[in-house]
This record gives sequence, structure tokens and C-alpha cells, in this order.
Amino acid sequence: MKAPKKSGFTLVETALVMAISVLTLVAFIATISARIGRERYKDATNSFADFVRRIYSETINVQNGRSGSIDDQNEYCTLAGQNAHAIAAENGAANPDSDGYPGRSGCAIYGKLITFGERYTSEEDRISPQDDDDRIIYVYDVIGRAIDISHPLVLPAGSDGSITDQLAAVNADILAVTKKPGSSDCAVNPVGTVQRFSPPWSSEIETTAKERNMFKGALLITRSPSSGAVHTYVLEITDDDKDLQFQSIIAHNRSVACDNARGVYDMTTNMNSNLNQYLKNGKFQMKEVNFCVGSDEGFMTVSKRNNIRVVLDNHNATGVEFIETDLSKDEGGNACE
Amino acid sequence: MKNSKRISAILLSVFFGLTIGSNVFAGLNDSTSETSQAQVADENKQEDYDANVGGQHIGNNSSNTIAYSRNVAGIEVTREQLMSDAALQSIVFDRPTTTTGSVTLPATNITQTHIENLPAGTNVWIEFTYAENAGWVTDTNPVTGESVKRWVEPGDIIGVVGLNDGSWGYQGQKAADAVAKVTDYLAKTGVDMNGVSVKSVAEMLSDYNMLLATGVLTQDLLDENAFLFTDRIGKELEKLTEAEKEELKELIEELLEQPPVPPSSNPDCHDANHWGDTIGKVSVQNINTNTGWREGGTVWARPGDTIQFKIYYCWGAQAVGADDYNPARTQHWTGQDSQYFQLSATQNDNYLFGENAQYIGPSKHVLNQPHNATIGPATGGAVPNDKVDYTSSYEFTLYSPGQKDGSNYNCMIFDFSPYFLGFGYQIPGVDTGGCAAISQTGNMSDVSNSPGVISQTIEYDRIQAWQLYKYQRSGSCAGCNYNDIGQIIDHRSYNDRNSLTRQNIRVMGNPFASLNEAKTAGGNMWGIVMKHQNSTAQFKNDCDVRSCGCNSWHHWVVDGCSDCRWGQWHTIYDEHGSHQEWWCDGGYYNYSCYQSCGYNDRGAVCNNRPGQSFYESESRTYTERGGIHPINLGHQSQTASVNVPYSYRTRADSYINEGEVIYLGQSVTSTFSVNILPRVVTEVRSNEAYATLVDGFIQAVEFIADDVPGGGGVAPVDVPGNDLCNYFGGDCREIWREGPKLNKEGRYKGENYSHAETRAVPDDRDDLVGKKYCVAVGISTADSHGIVDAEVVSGMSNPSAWRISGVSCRTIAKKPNFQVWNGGLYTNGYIETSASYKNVGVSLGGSTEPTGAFGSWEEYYVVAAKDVRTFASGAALGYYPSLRPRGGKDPASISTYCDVTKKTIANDGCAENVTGRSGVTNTSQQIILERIYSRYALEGDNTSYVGRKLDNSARYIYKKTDDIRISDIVNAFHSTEMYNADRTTYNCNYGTSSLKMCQGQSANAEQTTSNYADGTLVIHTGGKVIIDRNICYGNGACNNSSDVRLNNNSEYFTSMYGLPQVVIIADKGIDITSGATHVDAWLVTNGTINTCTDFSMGSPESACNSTLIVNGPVFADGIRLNRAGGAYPGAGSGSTVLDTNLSRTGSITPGEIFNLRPDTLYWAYSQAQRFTQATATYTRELAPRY
Repeated sequence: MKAPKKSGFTLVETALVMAISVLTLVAFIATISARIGRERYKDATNSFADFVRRIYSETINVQNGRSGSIDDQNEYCTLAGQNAHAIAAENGAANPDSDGYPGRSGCAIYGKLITFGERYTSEEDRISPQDDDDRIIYVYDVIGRAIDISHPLVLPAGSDGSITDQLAAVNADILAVTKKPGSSDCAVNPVGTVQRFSPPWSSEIETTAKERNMFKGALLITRSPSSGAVHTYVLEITDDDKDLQFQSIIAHNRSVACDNARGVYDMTTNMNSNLNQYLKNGKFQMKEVNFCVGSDEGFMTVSKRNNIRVVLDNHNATGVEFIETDLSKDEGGNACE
Repeated sequence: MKNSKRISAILLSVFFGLTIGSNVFAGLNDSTSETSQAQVADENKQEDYDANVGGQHIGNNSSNTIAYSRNVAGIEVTREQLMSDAALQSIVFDRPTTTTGSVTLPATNITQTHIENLPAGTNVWIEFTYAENAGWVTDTNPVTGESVKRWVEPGDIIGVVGLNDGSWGYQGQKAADAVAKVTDYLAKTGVDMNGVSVKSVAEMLSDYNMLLATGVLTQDLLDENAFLFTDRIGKELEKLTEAEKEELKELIEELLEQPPVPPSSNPDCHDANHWGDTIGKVSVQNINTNTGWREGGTVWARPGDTIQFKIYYCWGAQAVGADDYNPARTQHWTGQDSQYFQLSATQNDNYLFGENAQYIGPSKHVLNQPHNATIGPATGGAVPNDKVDYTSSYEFTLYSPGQKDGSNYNCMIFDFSPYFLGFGYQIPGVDTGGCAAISQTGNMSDVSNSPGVISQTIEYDRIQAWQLYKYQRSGSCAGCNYNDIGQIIDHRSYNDRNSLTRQNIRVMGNPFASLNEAKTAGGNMWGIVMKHQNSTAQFKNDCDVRSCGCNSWHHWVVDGCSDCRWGQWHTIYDEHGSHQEWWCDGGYYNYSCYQSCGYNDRGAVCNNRPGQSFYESESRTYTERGGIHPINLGHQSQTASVNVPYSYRTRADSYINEGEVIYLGQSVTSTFSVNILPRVVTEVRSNEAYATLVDGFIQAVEFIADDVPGGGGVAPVDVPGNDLCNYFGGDCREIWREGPKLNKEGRYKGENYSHAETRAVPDDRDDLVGKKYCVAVGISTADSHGIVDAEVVSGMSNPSAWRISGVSCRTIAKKPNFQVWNGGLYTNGYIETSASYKNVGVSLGGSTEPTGAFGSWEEYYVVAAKDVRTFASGAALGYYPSLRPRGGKDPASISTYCDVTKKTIANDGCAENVTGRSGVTNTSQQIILERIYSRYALEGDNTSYVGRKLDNSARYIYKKTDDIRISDIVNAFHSTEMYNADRTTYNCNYGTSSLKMCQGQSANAEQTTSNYADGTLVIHTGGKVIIDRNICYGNGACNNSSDVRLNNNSEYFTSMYGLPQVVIIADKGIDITSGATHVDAWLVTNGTINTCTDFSMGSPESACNSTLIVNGPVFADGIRLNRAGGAYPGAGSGSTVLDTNLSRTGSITPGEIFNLRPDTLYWAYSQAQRFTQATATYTRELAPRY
């Protein structure tokens, strides 16, 4: 008599199968994760590029943020040195028509200022809608004195007629002193509309430096006060620039007395942001600028990254380009690596 | 004192050229040469009396003296009467031969020429003095010194003593004084009298008298540098040396200082030496009209006249007690210690004229004189000495105001009127500037509605007093039991004293047994003892010169009394026969022979015995005074008044200094004039018109009326409540008031009032346009009397009546305007419109300050080759902040119109307030017109046409020559034969011979898209297009079935080419009727566009009174803007800048709106691009305004 034969998987087999499965699962998961990262990267870059393009479009096709209500007594636009009357004054009982064009303010919209890496250093310096997140990108209306036959553009002596000089000459700025609603106190607030853009997927806008520094500075998309043509200027702040800390662009002179009687957007230069000062001292440069989108969320695993490039003296949305970066190559810091 | 009086007498003589001043009063003397003590007393009395009456005592010769009385008769005649009446002239000029008979009087120096030289109207007073007794009178010419002695009989005229220039006595006296003094001066200084005749001096002083009256004396004569004798007095006085002139000046000054001499004494008191009565009189005179003194009467006067009161008062019991033996006239005051006396005047004694109430005034001052007090100049009286002219010791005459007060009551300081005296009270109300009279009385005008506005009253107790005397003459009548034989007792009332004669003296036969008997017999005939001297004189004549006499030393025997011996009986004879029982005892000097006591008529007075003569005055042995007997006859008063009646007429006129129409909210200036005119008041001055104060006021009003009110400028009317607004009613405001007293200074020629007032035409109601803005002015009271120059009866005829001017009215209008929205104006010619500068919403009576400027404007640009006037660009006249959102430019911001035309090219005339003047006069407009025609217009006959470039899909309505009326098209549209139910397909065959309607035919070669113009309707005619229906896209403004509505069902379009457009092309013009207010179409014509052919000039209710909106381009040779809509009053009620409800945009609402609708730009631009007619070569887009 012979002994009976046994059937089933051995422990080895089982372990093997399990190992393979785990490996497979891991690989799958890794693959999925990379894909997700790529998609998120793509989404983040596209979103940012679209955002920039939209700002260009809005610069060209201006949507006036002013309410237009002539009954809004807070709708003022008083300019430094010009003693121009505010919008409401042009329409209200307080002041007569100042320029023979009733209902027309003395201010014009000269474009948009996109700021990167804003962070307020103290609650006191916080300007709504600043968030405690320096990833947030803000877009401000740049408003200055309008040019007309009664108020011509007068450039300072020695000016080369640059757009920045022109903007400085019209006291272009993004902040103004306004009266707090229901109060006799004043506050520094943005004049015009403010947009927030939060890069998706916890991404941030970085420079092309290998260190993947967060881009700190501003992109000024502006119309020429004299010609109306759109130009782009870049303000880039590095850590080495001790005198040009980024947050100072929206810093304001707190020694300004609040004009309770007027409660206006008082756009006198020394009352508001440092934009006008930067325009004067040449901090804004007309140059090409490349933005990178980075994140610690893992989508940096992509093999190729895209520069979001704003070409030199870009004047419309088409100048916001995607530049693919081959990570296998060294771009010398001009590409997102 | 005595000297001055004498001089006065001489002055009178010289001035009147008569020599009567030296009459002598010598009194009575008997023929005896012996002088007794009584005779001395008589002479003293005579001397005093001379001094008082101004006579000249030249001797006491009984052979050439007489007694005389003055002031016995007189006549006051006018200069003219004297010139024309021969009898009067004979008295004055020829008196030496006509009035004295055998007595030669010196020739008068008054000649007819002298009288002729007197001012017209001067009165001449001829006063005759009669001799009372026969005797001698000596007339002395004080100039020549010649004396004429003459005998006169009782009743003979012995003097003509008065002649003056209107205020006789006072003025004449002063003139006479001056003449005398000058004459005396000339005589003393030895000036050659040949050069200065008496006559010429009289004339000179006549002038001088006027100088005194006018006050020039103090201003000129007393000024060394202006002492012009040549001018004022005559060349004769140039001969005076400086010293003489100075002396004359002093003379003049002295004259000025002298109080006035009363014109006459009052016989009631002045001459009453023995009677006592209290008399108060008030007289008044109007010096200007020569009324003379009117005692207790009334004079009429006008403002500017000078009046004066005279108060005479002679108080009781004066002189009682005076008799020939005791001539000192002391006052015997018995029965009461005080005497009531008061002066009062109207207006709470304001018109006492200088009299201080301390003396005589409202407190009823009492002349509180003690018993037996002497009242006279020496001791002062109840009134101040300087106010009183004491011509008698017991009376005074008060002039109110007196000469010294004159300047305080004058209104005219320099007036050479001969009427002006320099004193008196000048009634205020003359146009003289300062008037002292006002400050004295407190009354600006003494004009009154009732008589007696100025009056003075004297009130007093009339006290009469008398004294009885009993003269007892006694002698040594031996055996007689009567010691009082020879009584002569009489009594007379005060009032009957003048009738007292010798015959009244009771003598003999009825002697009173006692004083009581005498009083009882007198009854009410209060009496007083007469002078017994008179009776002596009578009996002297009766006495038998053969009377006997005897005394202790001798006796004599006359006829009938022979052998008169002492201690014997004698027989004497008288009318009773012989009597033998006279006993001559010689025991007494005077009564040496008396009747036997046993004679049967014993008891009679023996001086009646014939053959006997005795003299009571010398035989008086006893005099008994009966005592003072006063009686108070009660309260007496007298008032003299001045009536100063109102006198004026009026006229009132109003005028509006504007054209036919005035405009809402704008200012309008009206002028008013009111004239106060003089009229004649015959009671005051005949044929001499003058005006007085008007006791009323002027009122001018403005009001709104539906039509021009009637009336005004006519007869006086009663105004309810004295308010013209009550008269006119309605919305009315007072705009001018003057008063309450007018012609305050009472200018004789009246006074004119004028006034200009700028007011706002109301802008606060919708119904104002077409109404009348009216003004009128009135004055109350219309006239002082109803009938011009009527006599004054009493007061004014109707004090409440008004004279109202004619009503001036202007029609209230508005200034419609037009507006160009979303576009501009281009013209080779000019643009001229009107603008309103108004106070928006102002009510009647509101401020005239404009708050908004409104007018026509466009929004984008104006290119006018020529002038642009009053037309704004840039919507600058559209909306003003303070009035937001309802418009109006701040007028203060418009210095020139260039301030509101900043979008006008090229404003090359701002300095002239002219804008525009672009100078663009090329033919581009014609080119544009040709292009429009080439693309949109049609041509051909009435049944077929040649389409243009839109013809593929556009629809056409076409006439070659005839007019096209939109209502006809509407009917066609509504016809099913014309187009299908959905109104998208038209039947080209529909129509008449003159109207072709069809959808587009074949496309041009260039047209490649079928829907280029499928929303387009082209209406073209060689005639006119008459738009009498609204033409609308969609349902917007057109909801009437008769309106032309395109694209009724479409809300979306597939292309800009397909946007609905109506293109109206009319070769000869486009007429829009009132039935169309909304035209969504292009209007292209080579003629004129009339925005409302139903326009009726001047009618606010015109059918064109609605706003027309044309939504589309307009191209025309001219535009006639006839719409009267809009330009509503006020600021409207809209809440937005451009309220779509035009009725709520108030003043800014236009009559026409030409709105370049945006879709026309898109449509035209796209059409143009189709044919490369428009190419954008450069676009500069500026930064938009924030």
C-alpha cells in the first residue's frame, strides 16, 4: 500500500505572490502619484499663466471698478499736487465742476500691479485683503491723475520719457487714504479693485533659480499715460536687496493725517505705497521675466517643467508663454529646473 | 425913555412925509395967572402923558394948545385902490388943500410915484387924527425944522399917520424908526441933504425895511465885506464915510434888537384910566397873504406861509383908583388874591411858539399877584419881560412867536420874498432843507385833515372892578345942616364909559343920601365918579359974572349983589328970581357969599345959584372913596386858528423794462413812478397851485394773473385793507413801499417818486407759462379832494381812496432747447440758440440770483464754420452738481460762453462771447450727402426703382417726386396685402402709382452676404417726408398701434449689418408733426427738417408742447426747431442724471433730443467697411477714467 498525495500553495509561493503584489501595488501607487503630480503641476502652471493673461486682458479691456454712483460721497480721487477734485465732488454739492466736464473724475486707470510674496510684517501694517500667506498673489488697479488738456503730462527734468517716469508724473499708485465707513478715522486701503490669486495645489510662484526661491516682486502691466500702449515692467526683489524689501511696496506713510472732512482716496504720493517712489528710482525694469511654479506637494517630480515667461515689454496676453524646460539640461538658472 | 419916544414921533412924520408929530397936549388951565399946587400936578401929568403918546411938548401957552385924541378913525386900502381912487388920493397926496380948509398943512412927501413903487398887494393904512377941541396945533417938519402953527376946530383932521407896506404898524413903525434915525443921523453928520431927499430916504428905507424882513440885514449889511449900500439902499448912501456906515450898522443892529411895537393900543384897556375889566384876545394873521389880524378868527395858510399870533391881555381892576388927584394907577385887588389866566395851544401846547410853560402853559399858570400889586414893566409881570410889550402898566401884548424867536420858527433863511418878515412861525413843509419850526413843534407838517391844526387859546377869569368915589364939597354954610352939599355922583358901567357925557352927570335935585343909595340907584350900572372939572366948566358958563364975593378983607358987589357987606344980608338973582337972604359973613375965603339957611330951596347946591360962582376943585374939602368892587364874570376864552388844508393830486405809472415776454426763473426789472402834483386851494391862494404832504404811502406789487387785469390809472378806488394785493388778488407780493408820509417837505411843486425793482419771475408751477406777470403801483390817498381846485369844505373827500397805475404785464414764457446726445454738430453755418439763467424753482418774491444756466447743448463736439452763440458743447449746460441730477450749469462759473463750449472747435471769439468759428467750410458735407445718396437712396420712376447697395435685403419705400406721409406707410404696413403676417416679407407689388414699396431686389455685385441689410427700411422721396407717426424699434417708446414699429418681434440680431435701421431720405425736407414724438430713424435731407409743423406762435398750449426724440443721425440743410416742450419750471423730480422720464427733469428738459444711437455707429461702420469706405489707420486708446 502506497501513501496518499497532498495539494495547495506553499508558504513560499504565497509569500512570493504577496511580495509581487506589494511591489506591483507600490509601483502602481508611485505611478499614480507621479501622474497626479504632473497633472497638478500642469494645472498650477496653467492657472497661473491664465491668471497673468487675464490680467493683461483686463488691463486692455478695463473694467472700471468704481461704483459710478454719484451719491457715493466716498468716491473721491484726489491727486497730489494737482488739487484735482474728486469724483463725487464733480457730481456733488460740495464742489462745482472743476474742469468743465461734469461728472468726470481727475483720475485714470493705468493698469494693474501684480504683487508676489506679499507678507505683512505686523498687523498694523496689514492692508486688506492681505493674507498671512506669502504665496498669495494680489492684483491692484494702478490709478493716477488723468491727462487732459487742462492737466498735461509734465515729466521731470532729465526724464527720458519712460513709461515709469510718466506713471510717476501722474502719481500712479495702488493705495489711498480712505475714511473708514461709519467713522471719522482714516485707513490706507487699495484704491480700485483688488484681486487675489492663490496658486493651486499649494504651489507657489518661484524664480528660475535653482534654489527655487519664491518670486518676490511685482509685475506692472500698465498703459502709457501718453499713448495708451500697454507695457510690462518687472520689479524683482532679492534677499540681497536690503533697501528694497518687498513688503515695502505697499508700505505707507503712517504719519499722514487723516482728512476727516474729505474722507477721500487721497492719492498724494507720500501718503500711500512706495510704488511711485520705485517708479522714480528705476526699480521697475522692462525685461523678460520667467516664473516657475513650485510646490512641496510632490509634483516637482515631473521631468519637464515649464517657465511661465512674460516676454520683454509684453503688451498682451499672448506674451505670456510657456517655456518647457528639460530638466536634464542645465539652463543656467533661466529655466525652471 | 422919553427921548426914544420923541424920536419915534419924528420917525413917523418923516416916513409918511407929514408933520403932525408936534401936537401939544396942554391940558386945562384956568385963566388965572396964579399957580396953585394943583396946577403943578396937572403939568406933571401932562408930561407923563406926552411921553406915553409920543407927543412933543412945546409949550404951555393956552393960546396955542388944544387937547386931542388919536386913533379915532382910519381906513386900510390897497395900493391899487389908492392908485385908482381920486378921493383917497386927495387925502394922501393933496391933503393941504382939501382937508384943512383954511388951515394950511405942510405938503406931504408921499407921491403917487411912491405908492407905485410899493409892491403889488401892499396895503396902505390911512389913519386920521381928529382934533377933539378947537385950538392951535403946530406941525413941524422934522427934516426941515419948519413949523406951521394952525388953528383947528373939533373934528378937524390933524394928521394922516399911517402908511405901510402890508403889515402896518409893526413893520411901518420900524421902517419909520429907521427913516427917522437915518434922517437924524444925516442931519447930525452934516451930510448934504441935497443928495438925499426925504423921499429918496423913504424909498431907501422901504428897501431897507425889506432887508430887515428877509434877514439879509444880518447876513450882508452887518458883514463888513458885504456892506453894499449900492446894492441895497441906493447910491446916495455911498456918500457915507466908513464911520457913518458903522454908525448906520449900529443903528440897524439896534433896530433888530428892539421888540416889535404893537400896531395899536387896545382902547378897552389901554385907554381905560379909571375902569377895570379883564380882556384876553387872541388874533392870528397870515403874513404872506396879508390877512391882517383876525381876532378869535381863522386864517388859511399853506406850508411855507408865515403866521403869527398875538395875545392881548388886560387884567382886571387895572388903574382903578386913579383919578385926577391920584394919577398913579395902582391896582386895587380886592375880593380875591389870584386871577386865573392860561394860554394853551394845539398839539399839547406845541404851538405856543416859544412860550415856556413855566410861565404860561398847560399847567394853568395863575397870575398870582398880591393885593394892590403894581403890574408893569418896572416890576415885571406874569410873563417874561422880553415877551411882553408893556404899552400900559396893566396889560401886555404878546407876539407868538416874537421877533426874537423868529429864527427858531423859520424854515427859509434866505428868501427875498417881500412877504417874509423874519419872524413869525413858518409852517413847515416847504422844500428848504433845514427847518427850525419842525424842531420846535415836533411836527414835520402842520397839514391837517381838519381845520384849526394850529391854534392858540387864551382863557381867563373875566374880572371887572370899579371904585366909587364920593366927592363932597362943603363949605361954611352957616346954619346948614348939610355938610355934603355939592355932591356930584355918577356911576357908569365899564362898557358905557365912552358914552359918558356931562349930561349924564347927576346934578342937583336928586342927591344921594349916601353911598349906598348911590350904588342902589346905579343898579347894574356900575359907576364911577366923573371928573368934576367938567361940571365946573359947565357951570362956569352959567355963572353970573356979576357974582359977588367977599372975604375978610374986602367985599365987592356985582350985578344983583350990591352992597355986599360983611355981616349983612344981600340979594342976588338967578334963574329962580331974586333972593335976598344971602349972608355975607366974610368968614371964609372962598365961600364968602352963601344962601340963607332959611331959604326955601335950602339944601340945593349953592353953585347953581345965579350970580354965584365957585370952583369945586378948589373948594373940595372931603373926598370919600367908595372902595373897590370886583366881580368875576366867569370863565372866558378865545381861540384863533390856522387852517392848513391838504392839497395835492397824484399820478401813478408802472412799467416793465422787458420785451413782450419774460422767462421762467429769470429776473425782470420794473420801474415805478408816482407823482404828487399841486392843486389850487382857493381858500389859501387863488390861482396858485401847490402841493402839501400826503398822509399815506406808495405801494407797488407784483402778481400773477391769467390775463391782463383791467382798470388802473383811472379814478380813485377803494382798496380793501389798504393793500393792493387785496385789490388784485391771486399770487401777489409787495415789492416797494414808500411812506407812510409822502412829500414830507411839502414841496409846492409836489414830489416825484420813482423806483426800480428787479424781481424773479416765478419758476415753481407748471401752469405759469402763458400767464401774465404784472406789476402796479398805487398811492394812498389819491387826491386831497375829489375835484381838482375845488374849494376846501372840510378835510379830504375820500381819505381811503387810492390812485392805482395802469397794470403792466408781461407774458411768462420759457426757452425751449434741444440736446444732442451721443454725438455732435457739424455745420458750415452758424448755431444760435437761447439760454436761460434762472433761479431754479424760485417762487414769486424769491431771490433773483440765478442758480442754474440752461440751454441747448451737444455732447461730443461742435464744428461750426461760423459763430456759435449760446450753445454749449460737452453737455456743459446739462447738469449742475448742486441741482443734480436735474441739471443746470452754475451761472457763476460762466464768465464767457467758452467756459461751456470746451468741445467746440475752435472757440475763436471768446472775448466776444462767441464760440465756434472753426473755419471749416469745405464741401465735405456735400460729399457725405452724395455718398449717402449713392448707397441708400433710390432712383427711378414711381413704379420701379433702381436699388442701391443695400437693396439685396433692405426694404424700400420710394416716391420719385411726391411726399411720403408716414401714416400712409403705417396703413400699408397694416395691410395684409402689403406684407405677410409676420411683417417680414413685403409685397413689392403693393402700392399706388405714386408709392412703391418693395423688398430689396437683386444685390449688387459687391454684395455677397444676403443679410447685410435685412433690418433696414429706406424711405426715399424726391419730395418731402411727413413724419406724423412715431417710428420705433421694438416696443420701447411706441405702444400705439398707429405707430410704425420695426423689428417688433426680434430681440437678437445675428450681425451688426442686420441691426434695424430706418433711413429717411427726403430731397425737399422732412416735416415732423406734433403727432410724432419718437423717431428712430436717420433723417437725411437736402432741405429743412421741421421738428413740428403744427407750431403755433405764442401759444403755450401748442400741439408742439411735447419733446421730440430722434434716435439717429440727422443730416439737413437746416433744422427748424419748433418744439415747445420741456424747459419746465423748477428742478424736476428725477433721481438720475438723465431720467428717462423727461417730465421729471424739470428745467433741463429739452424740446428736441437728437440722439446718435450707438447702434447706428455700429451699423454704419460695418456697412462702410463692406465697401472699404472706412478704414482705421490709427487708433489711440487712452487710459479710461476712473
